[in-house]
Amino acid sequence: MKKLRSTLFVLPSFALHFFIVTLPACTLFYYSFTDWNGLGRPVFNALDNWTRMLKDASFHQAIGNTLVWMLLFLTVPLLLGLFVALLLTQTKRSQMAYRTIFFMPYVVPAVIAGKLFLVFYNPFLGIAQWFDRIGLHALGGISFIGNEKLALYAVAFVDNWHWWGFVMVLMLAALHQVDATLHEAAILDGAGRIRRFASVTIPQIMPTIMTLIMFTIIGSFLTFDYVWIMTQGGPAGATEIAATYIYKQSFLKLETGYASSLSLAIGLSCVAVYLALRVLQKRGVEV
Amino acid sequence: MKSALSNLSRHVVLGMLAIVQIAPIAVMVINSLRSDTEIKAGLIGWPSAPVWDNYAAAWVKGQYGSAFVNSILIGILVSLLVVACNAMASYAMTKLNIYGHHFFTAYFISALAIPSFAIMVPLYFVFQKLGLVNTHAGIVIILAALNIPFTLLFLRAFFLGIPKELEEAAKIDGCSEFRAFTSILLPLAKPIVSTVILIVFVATWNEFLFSNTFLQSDALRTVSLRFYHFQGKYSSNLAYIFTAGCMTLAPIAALFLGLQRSFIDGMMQGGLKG
Repeated sequence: MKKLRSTLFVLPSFALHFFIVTLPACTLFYYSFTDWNGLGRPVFNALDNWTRMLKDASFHQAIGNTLVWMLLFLTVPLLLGLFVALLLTQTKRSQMAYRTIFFMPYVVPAVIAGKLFLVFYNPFLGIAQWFDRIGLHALGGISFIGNEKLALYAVAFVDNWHWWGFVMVLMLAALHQVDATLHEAAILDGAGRIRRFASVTIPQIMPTIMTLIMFTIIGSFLTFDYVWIMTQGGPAGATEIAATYIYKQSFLKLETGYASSLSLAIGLSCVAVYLALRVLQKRGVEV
Repeated sequence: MKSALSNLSRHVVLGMLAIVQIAPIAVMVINSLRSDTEIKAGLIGWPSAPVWDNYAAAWVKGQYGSAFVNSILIGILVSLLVVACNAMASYAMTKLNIYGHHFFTAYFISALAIPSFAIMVPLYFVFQKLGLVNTHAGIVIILAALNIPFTLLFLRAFFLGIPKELEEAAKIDGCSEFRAFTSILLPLAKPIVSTVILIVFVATWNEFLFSNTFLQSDALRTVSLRFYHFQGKYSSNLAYIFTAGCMTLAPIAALFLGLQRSFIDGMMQGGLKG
């Protein structure tokens, strides 16, 4: 009886999440096999959506861009966050001030950061003009957002500007929890700085790094705001990523059935990657 | 000498990064007080005479008054709902004897892997049938549900770190389980609870995708959405855009700066371990 009453404590969180997230996600299994415009009655069309997905070159381009995005976010914020966190552990007095400043962009809404950087990227107003003024005329009229080769990186820069401070604080938290006696023991064994970093610090903060890797991989498939606000996938699909492509299919082209199968494909890949990483973690790869 | 040099180079690196992080925000704040013609002549510069009118004009044109009420209402409801549900759940999952203990832990951990994007289409369809599209209740429920797994695991990591002896001592003193929760654990959890509230409030204030899809009438929209639609309409007037940006950012920045000490302490205590 008491056990039952204790279990009730978990139910509000569980029910809220189950009915709003898990259950709708399960209905994708049905909709992904239908032709549906999101309003009328879904018509079963067997594997049509799935064969279409295999031939859809725009979707493949979006997946390619998403993978580039993922690689950028698996490297830049994690390395920068760890590097700065390490620098900050040696900074006593001004640590709080730096922490606050680096974290600040995290609270800036994506709509504002996106619009702000659009002004900076404007070839007639922003960074390009400053290049021009200091004599770099070749870069003078450059449009970071209009250029197919640069646009994805220009947008990723803004998202990274907003994100890496958060990563840094998590890294700093992990570094604070590293057992100091391990370092002392390593020093007694004659280990140098680099050796201690590789064999003491890194293994100790590995759980945090693994969690961040998982968030980044799943997060890359969810990225929507910055791309939508800054480029809506353009120019010529150069910044189209999974989420913006699916959004267009379902809400602008009313290909909701097809969008469901794209969502399901992405969702299942996320779950697969996630489970694989958890198995790796359990096997003790971190040691 | 060597340490002074490495000290200096460290501050140079940190200082440059600080400029990259803060300069865009500073440019926005300064430009909110310049006139449109001034800004177009050069993005960086001091206002020749501060144009306070920008604020009044953007406030009225963007209908920011009602937008602020909407954002604050939605932000408070979502963060309270998330914290109330999750404080109980994470306490029960770590300290109490419950049915399906492993099931619930596994459920919330794997819930992190469901891309929130994937549920939008079916959810929109169901919410339309239930009449929840274009209502505050609808968006509050959605955003609360989406924030549950991450914050629950965050709180769970904290409760796991609290030694069992503390509550056992309380129970020996005659406290009920509920009393032990409210009088021993919750006070200890204060920094982490305020961290969770802040994370959820900021996320809700800034949320774009679901809010923009589910809130369609201007009267219901949040500040961030107002900004998005405002900048679409007045895209030629940069002064208004910088001003509107400042108004949208100001409350959330003030909240963060006010609570940042307990916020970062909370991050340090909770940590993220899957």
